[in-house]
Amino acid sequence: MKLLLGLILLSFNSFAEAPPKKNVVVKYKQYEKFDLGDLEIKGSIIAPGDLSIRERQRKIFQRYLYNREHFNDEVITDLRNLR
Amino acid sequence: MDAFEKYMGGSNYSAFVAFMTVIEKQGLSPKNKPFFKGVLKKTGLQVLNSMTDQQLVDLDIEPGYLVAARRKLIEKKYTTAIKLLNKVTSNSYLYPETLLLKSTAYSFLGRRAAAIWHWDLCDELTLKYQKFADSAEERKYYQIIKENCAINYARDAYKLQQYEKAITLYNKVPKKSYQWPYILLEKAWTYYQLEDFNRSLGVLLTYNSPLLESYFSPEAEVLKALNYFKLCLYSDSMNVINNFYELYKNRSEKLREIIGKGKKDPLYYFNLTEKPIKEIEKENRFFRNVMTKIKRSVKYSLDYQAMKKLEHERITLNNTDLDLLLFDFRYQISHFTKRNMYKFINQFHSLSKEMFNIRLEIITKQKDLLYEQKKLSADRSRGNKNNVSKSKYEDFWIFKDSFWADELGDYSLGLDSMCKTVKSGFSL
Repeated sequence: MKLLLGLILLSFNSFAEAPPKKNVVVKYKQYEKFDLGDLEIKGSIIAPGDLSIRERQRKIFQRYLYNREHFNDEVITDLRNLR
Repeated sequence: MDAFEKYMGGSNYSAFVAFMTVIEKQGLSPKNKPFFKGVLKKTGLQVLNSMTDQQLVDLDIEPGYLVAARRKLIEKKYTTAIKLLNKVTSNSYLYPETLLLKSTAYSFLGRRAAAIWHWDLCDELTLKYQKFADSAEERKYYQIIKENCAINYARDAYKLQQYEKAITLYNKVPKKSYQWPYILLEKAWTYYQLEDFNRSLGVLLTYNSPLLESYFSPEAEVLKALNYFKLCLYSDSMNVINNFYELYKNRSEKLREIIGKGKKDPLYYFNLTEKPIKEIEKENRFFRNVMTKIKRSVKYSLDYQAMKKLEHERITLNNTDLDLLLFDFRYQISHFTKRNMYKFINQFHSLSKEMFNIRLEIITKQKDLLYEQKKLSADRSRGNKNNVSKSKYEDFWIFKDSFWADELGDYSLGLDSMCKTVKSGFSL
């Protein structure tokens, strides 16, 4: 019984020491401006900074056009047809 | 009656068959050799075509070596061909033909000095042999050999890109020659390589003359399209290409239809050649031209004349031993006709692809001009005398819608090249 009474008394003591409650109001900026150009980023540039597109040379296809380099077949045909 | 008696009696084909019966059993004896050679001179060497290479060599006579060598040449065994041809001496009436074959073999082997030496000798000796020829037929034979030597020499010069020399050699072939209409195309190619596109087109124009109507060639159309293309006359080139497909497709199909009927009969094509021209003309004018072209060839003329002689002998002597030889002759003519017809169809199909390539190239060129905002410099003109290149021995005459025999092959167009480009003045 003595022990129970002691615990009740101690608990009253702890309630007396708790800080009083405060209403915290967080306010954000209604307007904020970021200047991306002014931002400084540490490090080295590894990607090309130039975003322009270079003009590509048009591909010229080499199409083979018929050409006669020799008349070997005609030589043989003539020999075949000689007799 | 033995072979010798038949030979002395002028029955040459009967003598040949009798000699062959003896040769199959005992071989050709030295005593019989001069007589057998005499028989072959009268019949022509076509009679040896059914013999094997070994049988020909075993005969140990000049005609046998010559026929065997010709086969080896066709099989591309040039060194063997030369070895066989060395057996034919200058005493033989076949020596000029030997020179022709030898020069061809040396040319294919790349031994040009030896080839030229033989071509020159061929040119020189055929004249002498012509003087001592027994008949007009034999003189004509030597003339053909002489022309073939000049043509092969020209072809060799062409292969080595000596185009000016090739033209000079092609000009050695007279316009009356059987070979002349065929070499026009080769001459046109030579001018094309010399970039004388107007002259090349002019030479091809000769095929439009009524006299040469039957000597048409699909390749001539391809070369015509290429010439116009090189002059940047794209619409003219396109016209040639479109006509090619319209004209030759029908012709090729018609020919395929006709030759398709003769698959079972070994003498079907021979029988076609025996049909009268008027009857053939009724079927199809183009088919008539094909037959005329075949009948005007040297090979057909020689074989047909020999076949007729053989036929006459078969009927006169009632010699049934000649039946097999007669069938062989007819079969050779049939095979030659068939080969020529198939050659035309195959040529059309292979050249269709080439024409398609030229068409694509024209489209590409026209597209490029559009993208680059350019156009060709000159408008299409009727041509100009200044564009005609001629040698100091040539005169200039204006073509007036008629072909004159002595002018054939000497035409030139005078078209302006449109290949320079200027800004078109409009943009996309």
